[in-house]
Amino acid sequence: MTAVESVRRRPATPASLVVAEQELRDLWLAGRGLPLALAFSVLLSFTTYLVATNQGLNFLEQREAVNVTLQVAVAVAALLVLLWAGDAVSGERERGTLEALLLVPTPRRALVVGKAAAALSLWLIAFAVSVPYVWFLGRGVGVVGVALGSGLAVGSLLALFLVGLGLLVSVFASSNRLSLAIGLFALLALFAPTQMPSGAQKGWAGDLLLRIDPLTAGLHYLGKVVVDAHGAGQDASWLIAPAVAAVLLPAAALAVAGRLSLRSGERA
Amino acid sequence: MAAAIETHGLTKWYGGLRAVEQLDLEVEAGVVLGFLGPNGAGKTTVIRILTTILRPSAGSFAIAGIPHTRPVEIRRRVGVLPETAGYPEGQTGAEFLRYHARLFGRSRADARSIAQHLLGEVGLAERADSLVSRYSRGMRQRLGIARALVNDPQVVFLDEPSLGLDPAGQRQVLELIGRLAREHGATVVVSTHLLAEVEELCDQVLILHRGRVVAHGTTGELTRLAAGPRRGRLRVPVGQLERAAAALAAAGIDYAQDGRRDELELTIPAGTDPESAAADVLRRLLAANVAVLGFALEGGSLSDAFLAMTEAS
Amino acid sequence: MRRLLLLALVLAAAIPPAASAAGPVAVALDRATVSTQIGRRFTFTSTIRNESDRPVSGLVAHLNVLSFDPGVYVDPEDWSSHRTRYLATLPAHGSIRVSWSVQAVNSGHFVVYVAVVERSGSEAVAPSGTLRATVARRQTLNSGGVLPLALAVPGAILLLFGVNLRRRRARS
Repeated sequence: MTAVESVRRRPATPASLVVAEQELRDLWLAGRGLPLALAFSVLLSFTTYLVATNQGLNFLEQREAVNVTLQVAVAVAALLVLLWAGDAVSGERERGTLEALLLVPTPRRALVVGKAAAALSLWLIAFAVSVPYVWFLGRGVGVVGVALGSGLAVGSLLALFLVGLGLLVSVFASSNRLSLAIGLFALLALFAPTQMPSGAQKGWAGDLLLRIDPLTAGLHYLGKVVVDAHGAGQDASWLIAPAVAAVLLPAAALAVAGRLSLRSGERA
Repeated sequence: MAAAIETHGLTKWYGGLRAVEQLDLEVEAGVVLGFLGPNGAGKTTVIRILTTILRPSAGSFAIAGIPHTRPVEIRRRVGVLPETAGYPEGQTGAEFLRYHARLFGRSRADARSIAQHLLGEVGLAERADSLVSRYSRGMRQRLGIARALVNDPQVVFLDEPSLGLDPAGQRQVLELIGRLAREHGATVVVSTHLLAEVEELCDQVLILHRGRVVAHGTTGELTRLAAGPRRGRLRVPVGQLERAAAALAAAGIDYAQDGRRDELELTIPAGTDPESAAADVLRRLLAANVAVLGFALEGGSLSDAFLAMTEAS
Repeated sequence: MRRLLLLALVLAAAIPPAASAAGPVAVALDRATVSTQIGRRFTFTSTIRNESDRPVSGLVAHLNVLSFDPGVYVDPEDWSSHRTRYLATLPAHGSIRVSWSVQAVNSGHFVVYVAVVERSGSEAVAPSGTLRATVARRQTLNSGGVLPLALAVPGAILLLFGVNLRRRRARS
């Protein structure tokens, strides 16, 4: 009996948790997670300092400052989540490490779930970093709880949506460069409706576009709750698109995970 | 006992390109099989099919008695060193092996023991906690071999295990493979271009060319099968070169003058006993008063057989 | 004559403040003044009374805010997100009370009032009287703590990063 055989077989951790644990270690202990968090915190420190030292700040502008801080957190986290998920499979292919992962008896879905967990952690850490800034800016106007609660809800829905999108692209992209390019293009397309003239945004077509785009719908909802002090349920219809996207895209990514192969498009 | 590897009509198409065609193979358990073929012969494709990375276009196979329709079970029983194996640069060697052990269902503590043991076996114990980014090419190959053994496989596939290594590194890796094959009792398939080492290491050899098997057997069987002409290298004093050439011509022996002025390369025809032919050459040269400074027979090796078979097909 | 004058004065005093009428509808507010601080909410109630002999339907009540200071921009939507109320049919001589919750988002002197219009029927607008709001400034953001915060958060992450980097270098 070899030494490997003789090892006592104790109950093993589910494969998706094993993958998640390793991916989180690779991201936060061995990778770029901490430098990204540092850069993000510097950005928020800069904007918060500028806002806080503005003598002409009035009540509403302060609420808007809280809203901007939240939206920056959501937008930056959205970018990071999408890019990290976009690297999940195509990056492994390019680095030559995918084959070893395909050779284990772990279900393909477990691999994808584990990688999704690491990507989602980027959102959670970005949100955690933004908490002290939101607290500082919002404590005088009594908006901290509402801002953090709605920010967490909206950001989590958007993060789930973008993780699913990134993973889907990554499974099928023939190269990592293509995967990242598609991801960036998708993100720009999702943000594009916010650049429409305000008149166009108020028309029925503009309104529809803003509502069906999960990113703009989520950010719109945040603005209404934080700046306009709407109740949580008052604009709940704006959360339909983010909620649907948060379910559909990850589900689609899990569905195609079974097709994970060494070369994109090839069935294994 | 089921064969370690069995294939029936295994075929793989990529569009109009036939990468593997009608591969029928049976390899008994415990055999060390050398898998040879020129670049593009289909060796890596066959290995990827047998290790469930790729689906065959037609045909069937079984690994350790497990049919190809149960890929997850096959993966539990095989260990693989891929040709283009990459390693996560941010992990240590120990971390990498622990991770893969856990992916094979081992608990955290078991995975730690396995990683420690395997790193010792492949000579990486002292660098266990170094980042893989700091490993040399040879160390990475050894790490890859360790990873191939992490699940104590019944069949091990090593695709170009000495690729990119210097001669010393190649020797180390092949010695390691031989030792591990003996100690683990696994069936080992080694895909390599190093024919001399295959002769030394492998019980059987399979030669693949353009997706088809052109030969399968022991090295002796393959060498005899090829029965190609052998060569001899004759070194004589420069002033006696003409006399030596005349003696060889009179004996009907094909020769060619080498780039060096005092060497002649002789060709011993197929079917002729090389030792008798060599003795005849030396007698004729001595009779012609040619001083023989050196004579050596060449060829009759696996590489000759390999070249003969792949060129012929 | 004096008695008549006295009676008129008493009646005038008895009329609740901020009451107006136009068409069949009159609108009254339950308070005439409010003092508060910026950011705080206050509520008031408007009573909409049908002074005619017929039921009135299709009434819409709308909240308005204006500032006496030309330099202060007032967006009523910021003060209240429920500015328009669609009322049920008022029976003859009936009334309905509508509560309004308003957040003072600007400082200064403001007037809040409610206007009621009928969808069909009278073209007149029935305004309430004014609710005069005095909103005091308040330091809502203490900027004194911003520099420590702006330095502490990145500093903490940098510390973690440094510790992690040392750990990785020790390994390799």
